[in-house]
Amino acid sequence: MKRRTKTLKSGLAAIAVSLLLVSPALGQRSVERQSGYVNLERIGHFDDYFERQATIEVNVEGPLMRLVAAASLFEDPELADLLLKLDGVFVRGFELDRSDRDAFEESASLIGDYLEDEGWSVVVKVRDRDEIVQMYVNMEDDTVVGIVVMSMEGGGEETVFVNIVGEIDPEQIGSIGRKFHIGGVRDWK
Amino acid sequence: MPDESCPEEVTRGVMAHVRRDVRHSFFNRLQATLNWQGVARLKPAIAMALLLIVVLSSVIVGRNSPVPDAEVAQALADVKMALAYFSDAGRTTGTAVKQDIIGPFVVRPVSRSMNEIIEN
Repeated sequence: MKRRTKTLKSGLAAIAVSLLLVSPALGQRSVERQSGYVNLERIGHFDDYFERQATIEVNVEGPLMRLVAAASLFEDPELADLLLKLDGVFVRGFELDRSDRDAFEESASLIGDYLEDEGWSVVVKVRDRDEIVQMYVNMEDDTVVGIVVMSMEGGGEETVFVNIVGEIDPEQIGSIGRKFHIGGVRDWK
Repeated sequence: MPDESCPEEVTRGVMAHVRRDVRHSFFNRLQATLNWQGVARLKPAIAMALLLIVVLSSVIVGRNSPVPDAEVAQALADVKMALAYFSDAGRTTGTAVKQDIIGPFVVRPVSRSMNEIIEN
């Protein structure tokens, strides 16, 4: 009887360990359902405001995000650690004519209003002659779960919308992000 | 003296009995082997080894995913760029942020983190 109980305990322990190992895959929710996700394209009415197609279109989520994290594991463990906590990275970038500056402002304004209504906090809102930058964060229990960055640079010639979804440590992203070179929208192809 | 053949049902009964005995002794030997002190001590190790095999198999299967390496490399580059944009947005707008934005709207942990981004 004792032996049977012991075997049962060992079996349960093995099942528990196995579940722990596969739980990230089982527990994964669709990124679109997470509170840090924003459908920038739909909310910003990109089709209406930008005549040209997006020159940057990045959708990294789900299994691809895990592969990306695994790919950076040896080269940059700190980056891998950050990526493992992210659920998705979405970017849309447009090249603009200077006259299209209003298009960005109107689209960004729609997104900003939506985010504020949804309880996001504005962290950065800068309006310059050559540059407009807006950054919003969504928090749950002191943890950042979503970030949206909207920026127009180069005197209004290029604009980028970024949505990062997942358990985000802004400090970690800031320090890691500094290591990478930013070209313009034209370099990001 | 003439040979007499054993009746069919007797032969079948004897053979069934023999097979049962052989099967029984095989299981007895197997059980005895498994209950042997040395093997009993190895049980956790065997369990871990099996677990390791399962995990490694899943990693190998995962590696053989339909996503090509080039696509993963491109995705990694794109993610790096997105992170760089976030970092850059904090840095290049530092002065304006300090003047206008970081205040009552910003939750403390975020403002602290943003300040560190900006200061660097």
